[in-house]
Amino acid sequence: MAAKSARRQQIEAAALYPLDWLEERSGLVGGVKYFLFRKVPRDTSWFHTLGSATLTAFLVQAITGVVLAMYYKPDPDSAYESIQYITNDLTLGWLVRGMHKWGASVFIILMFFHMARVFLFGAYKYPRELNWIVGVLLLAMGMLEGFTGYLLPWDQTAYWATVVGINLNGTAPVLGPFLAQFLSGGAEIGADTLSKFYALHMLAIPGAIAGLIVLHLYLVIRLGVTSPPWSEDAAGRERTEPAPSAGARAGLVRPGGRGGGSA
Amino acid sequence: MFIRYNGLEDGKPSFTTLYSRCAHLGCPVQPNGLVDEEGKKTVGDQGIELTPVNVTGFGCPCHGGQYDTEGNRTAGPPVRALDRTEFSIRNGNLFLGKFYSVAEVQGAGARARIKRYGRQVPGVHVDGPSAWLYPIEVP
Repeated sequence: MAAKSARRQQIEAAALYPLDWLEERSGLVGGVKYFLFRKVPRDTSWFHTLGSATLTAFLVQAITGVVLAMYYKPDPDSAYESIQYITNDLTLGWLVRGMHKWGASVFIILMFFHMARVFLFGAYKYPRELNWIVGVLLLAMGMLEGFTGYLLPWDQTAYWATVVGINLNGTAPVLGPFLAQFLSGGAEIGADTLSKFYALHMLAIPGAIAGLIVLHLYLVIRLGVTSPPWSEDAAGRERTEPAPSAGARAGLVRPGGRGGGSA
Repeated sequence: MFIRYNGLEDGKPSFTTLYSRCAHLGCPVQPNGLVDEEGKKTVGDQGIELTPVNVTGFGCPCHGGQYDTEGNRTAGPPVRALDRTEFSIRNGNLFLGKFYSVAEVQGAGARARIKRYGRQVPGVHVDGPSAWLYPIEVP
């Protein structure tokens, strides 16, 4: 590549100036760079993207949830109408509500895929046991989030699904009936239940999930990413060089690239 | 709630008041029986249609629990009979009182012998060896 022209250098300096300003005063830019450009095994596979995908699904839920919370009314008399308003009258309300509703299923499914990937890759073994435990807690919190959110539309499906769900909790021995009564906020499901579930769904459980995600990511960064189980590097075997690709033979691949030298 | 008038017992009107929540997990229980098409009528300003049913029992649509006309469990996953309420009659009006759970009802109608217990959530055994799992009643 040719030497940069003076004009280009000026533009780059101007673009980087805010980042330098921020870095000198907080060190955050360096932190983000460390996270984005940290070392991972050479043979990291696409399966390793499932964790980030789950995080993205959660962020989508959080953002759409905030928008929904601006228009939803957690009162039995107006909950259903507020959702009707969001779906039919609000600009793009149908889109936000749909994203939140389907995003919930996407979040749970991706969590299970991510859990299966970690399990099948053996990435829960020493020293990552704590990370696995944090992941289990995240799974439980995610399911509770879905359970509490299901009641909020306050229609027939929501009501009866919650009746059955709370009664399922009530079948646990000794403390089950007390848990069921605590969740329903009384003998019957009513206004108290809706407020309680709304508070759990909006404040308590997302807060817990956010905290656990921070811990989960900290452990991933600190402990590093494992190679896939088919990795030859991790098994300590001599790495077999793949035959040069057609592009390499034609001289189109930059020297020192993937199939080439090790450090 | 399902309420049935049982006629006079010792000169006082007697009712059977069954709670329509299934004793398995709380789904709404529906009456089984032949539908009386002629007796269909429309009530209220929203035009709600009511069709009477000759009740031969009750069934739960969720998981298939079946009950007889006294609320005893005859089939399916429910663990006990349908809950009932106490009732009183004041000034010619029927008032429903506290709920209670029922293990079994022998006999029928006004002369039924009801084995009653304190009210429990669905899924809780009130008698038999399984009742030892739930020693404490929820107030």
